[in-house]
Amino acid sequence: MLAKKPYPMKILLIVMLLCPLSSWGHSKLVTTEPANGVVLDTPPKLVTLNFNKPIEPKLHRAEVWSGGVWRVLPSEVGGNVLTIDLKESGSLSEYKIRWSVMSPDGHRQRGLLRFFVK
Amino acid sequence: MSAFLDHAHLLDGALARVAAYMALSLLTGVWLWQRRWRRLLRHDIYYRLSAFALGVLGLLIALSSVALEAATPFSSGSMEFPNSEEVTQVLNTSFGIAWLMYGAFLLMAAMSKSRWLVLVGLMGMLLSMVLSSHAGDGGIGQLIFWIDFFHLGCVLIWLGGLTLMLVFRLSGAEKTTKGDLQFFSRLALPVFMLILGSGVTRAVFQYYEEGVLEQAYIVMLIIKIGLVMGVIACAWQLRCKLQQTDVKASAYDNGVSLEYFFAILLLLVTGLLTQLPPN
Repeated sequence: MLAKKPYPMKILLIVMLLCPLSSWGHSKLVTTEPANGVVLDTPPKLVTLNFNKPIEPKLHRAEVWSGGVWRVLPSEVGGNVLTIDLKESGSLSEYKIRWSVMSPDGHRQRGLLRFFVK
Repeated sequence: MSAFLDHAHLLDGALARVAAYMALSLLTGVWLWQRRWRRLLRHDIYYRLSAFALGVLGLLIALSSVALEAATPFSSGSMEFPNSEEVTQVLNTSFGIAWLMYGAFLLMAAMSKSRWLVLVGLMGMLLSMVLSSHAGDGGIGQLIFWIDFFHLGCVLIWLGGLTLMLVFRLSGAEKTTKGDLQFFSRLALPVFMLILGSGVTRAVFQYYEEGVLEQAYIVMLIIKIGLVMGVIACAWQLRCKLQQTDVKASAYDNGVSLEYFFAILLLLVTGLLTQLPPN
């Protein structure tokens, strides 16, 4: 029965087969404040990470490299933004912050942000 | 291609979804063939228990993979067990709630005698699966949520019907006449066309949203398209066989087995695609 289908139907079928049947992507980091690699005059009080889609408000973590160990930093999520509080980190010349967040679809993203203070 | 290695829980995440899809498709298949024959299937309880076990397995794998990641958010290679606080946190995320909903509806669909409760259970399981996927990120008010819901629903009708048909044919648990095979063939063609149509619609949305795709993702997509073609070729052959006056049962069963082989590979690849970052 399929073989007797009119010509446009066959074309439609081929076009459909050539197109991907895919899932949607996960949320991605778009910008950070301060930006990665930047040199600042004074240490920032907060670091913000902006994602293109909402991230899970409960499962997130941020740590700073200080005194040879990773120290947990207070952080919170509001919509697409992860805000990391640097007040307790003390004053450093180089800030190396690693972060981890989860998308609502259960996928975890992690990354490293590095900036310097004069 | 590093996307395959970046995510330590890629395979368990994919396996969880495949097990959950299989549970849902088995129950959908039972529902479909019971509607066809207007009676309970001979081994109804075993199909339901198998589906329940598969669904619970999927649920546990999905939650444990996220909880393991919560316990070690920065060292994906280590296997530190999560504490009770981390498990509670996972269960309170939208992902955790969606999977718990899946479990509750699975129980309803697998254990209920009422066909309406079974239908509600199936719909609830489907809804939960979409909610726990990326299409559910924006909630049920988004168009993509319902496109995904429709796409997955059609896939499960086709796969569920095919699974049960293969079980009946190979085990002899139910007698399937040529009329029954033609019933499924007539149903499968438009359903499969709807699967392709809704899949293409999703892909168009994704193209506008994501742009260029990751290499590993493209490779999996090419494999998926190849498997879709395999399924179509098998289905075509089976339809041609059904049009013959004298259908050889063994040749038909071989064709169904081959189509199912492609279908299972397709499901595994789809499970992997839901875990890979597109770009």
